[in-house]
Amino acid sequence: MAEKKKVSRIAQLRPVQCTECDACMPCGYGIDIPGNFKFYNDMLEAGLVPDIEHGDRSSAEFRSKARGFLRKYDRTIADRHQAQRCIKCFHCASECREKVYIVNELAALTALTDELRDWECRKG
Amino acid sequence: MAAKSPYKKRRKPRTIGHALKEARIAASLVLFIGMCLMLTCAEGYVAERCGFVTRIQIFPLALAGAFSTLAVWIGVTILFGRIYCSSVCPMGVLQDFFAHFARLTRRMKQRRAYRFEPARNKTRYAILSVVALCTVLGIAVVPSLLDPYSAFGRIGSEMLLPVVQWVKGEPVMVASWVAFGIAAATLVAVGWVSALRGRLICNTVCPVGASLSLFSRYSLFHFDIDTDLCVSCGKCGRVCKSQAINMKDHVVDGSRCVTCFNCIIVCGENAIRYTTRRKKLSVPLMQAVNSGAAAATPAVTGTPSAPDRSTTTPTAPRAEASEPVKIDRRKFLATGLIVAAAPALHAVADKAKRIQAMEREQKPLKPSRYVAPPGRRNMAEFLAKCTGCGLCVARCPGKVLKPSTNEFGFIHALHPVMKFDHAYCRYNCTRCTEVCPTGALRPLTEEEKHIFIIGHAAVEPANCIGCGLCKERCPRRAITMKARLSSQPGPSILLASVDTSLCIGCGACEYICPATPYKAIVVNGIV
Repeated sequence: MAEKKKVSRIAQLRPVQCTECDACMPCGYGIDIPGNFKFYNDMLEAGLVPDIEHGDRSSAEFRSKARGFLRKYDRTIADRHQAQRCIKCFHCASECREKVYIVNELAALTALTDELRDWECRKG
Repeated sequence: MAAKSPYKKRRKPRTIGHALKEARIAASLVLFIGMCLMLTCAEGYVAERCGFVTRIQIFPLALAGAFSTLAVWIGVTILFGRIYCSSVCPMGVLQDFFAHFARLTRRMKQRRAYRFEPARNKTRYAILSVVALCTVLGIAVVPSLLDPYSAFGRIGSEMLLPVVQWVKGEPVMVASWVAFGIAAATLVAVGWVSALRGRLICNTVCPVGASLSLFSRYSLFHFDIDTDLCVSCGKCGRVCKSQAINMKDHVVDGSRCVTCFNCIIVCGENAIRYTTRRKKLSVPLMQAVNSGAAAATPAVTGTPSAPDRSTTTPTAPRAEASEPVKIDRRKFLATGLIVAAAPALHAVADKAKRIQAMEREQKPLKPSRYVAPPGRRNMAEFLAKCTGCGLCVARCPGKVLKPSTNEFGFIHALHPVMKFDHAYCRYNCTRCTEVCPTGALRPLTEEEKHIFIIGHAAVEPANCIGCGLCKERCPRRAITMKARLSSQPGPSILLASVDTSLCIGCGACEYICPATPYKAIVVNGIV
């Protein structure tokens, strides 16, 4: 499990090599896989992804980033199409032409949003 | 003075009344904005420090059993009159806004000038008795509709919050259209009545206003008209939004006065004062008073007032002024007796309910019982104490709380209910328990929340596709995937199984379940 986590590029705060070719789609569970990756890549490029591993959670920068990330995520990708819906059926795994570890990347994105949501309600 | 023309309008010199009115306006604005922030903004330095605003509201205090704070309020009312109504009650301040904006120009002020109206004591105390009775009997919908704090809370959380969300660019969510409709109807009714008749609702419908009026009637500081100075111009009566100043008899009805200090400002002769003095009888014919008050007040000016008073005794206005008080008090006491007998009746009804046969009707994918939020001591207390103000609904970060319509029964409408279709209760979140002002939900620590059971998940084998997503998302690791028995036909060889000793009913499994068209796991509430 730990090794797999290292593989996922989202956990390392690196962009996902997704070209939005839609070869992985449609997902049987309704996840907008390229949409999720595009959102993440765009946010990363704009420097708006909070660093949950090393970031100082009490800093104003982290607060604004975290709040903005969650808000934009919920606004851009509807609840039914978010990464957390992935059941790890691996139907998309062999389809990707860029050899993206889709399941691991989605799991890492889920871990990120879960952590942020937990932080959001704990803070208050 | 002599140099100035007597016909020129002169500005009234600043008196203590101006300072009092400005203090009143400042306090009410601060508290009102604090209340709005509390209902609409979860974050921010100011919003996080506004929690006290909901902690000083009288009806939630009464439900929470915070009698020491209630005693402070009663003391304040006995000393200074209905300060709560004038500046603390958010609904009162809202009505002042409507009344003010309906009288912006001089023309509007003239057209909508207030007139003295006799107190509607029968209606007022009848409603108070009904509300008290319903509160004791646990018919929560009546007090929650009439309590000003809860009504304002609903307006804030159902109407103001979506507007704020829209401005902020967040997804706009109306928690429940029924609650929205009730909030909108309340707002329209309150706006309409207060624009035309000022604080009529506070003095007729509001149970808090009615109960405070019992004390403010005899408050130490009150408004008193000095008949030596009064020129009977009627200005004070035209600005009194409680319509409580009787210009004919020169008395201010303390039970309806909300201490707004408007009358002091307009009086050109400084005849109306906020003072401890009671009804100076220098010109007895101008003033009708109770015989008790008249007897207790010595003739200050030394005029031979005793024979004068005896001659004025049989006049009509005096009889009018003294009679309704007696009748109302008697009625109020009688209803109090009924209220006192209510718990016994309630206990009998409960017993009858317990011996009835349990009816179990299994409906697929509907919870057998709806789930109430965490932090309640027991279901009965939660249902009785919640006034449906919507504060927890507004502050829930996961948007899992919704105002109920019929989930807990019609008489408990507008209580928060957990809806897991599009959201779930966050494992580490204790927001709703922290903000509840009525004591329906008690504050939980994170550790207590982790083991607070609000319901139990149940799997419907016919729907379960065995994907294991519920097992992944369960924060308590209460779900395991087991091989399906031959007696459990279904679409997959695996079947989710819930360990009820671990499950707390947070609904993460029901929220995430991908089975369509019906979910395969449902959280049933517990009593």
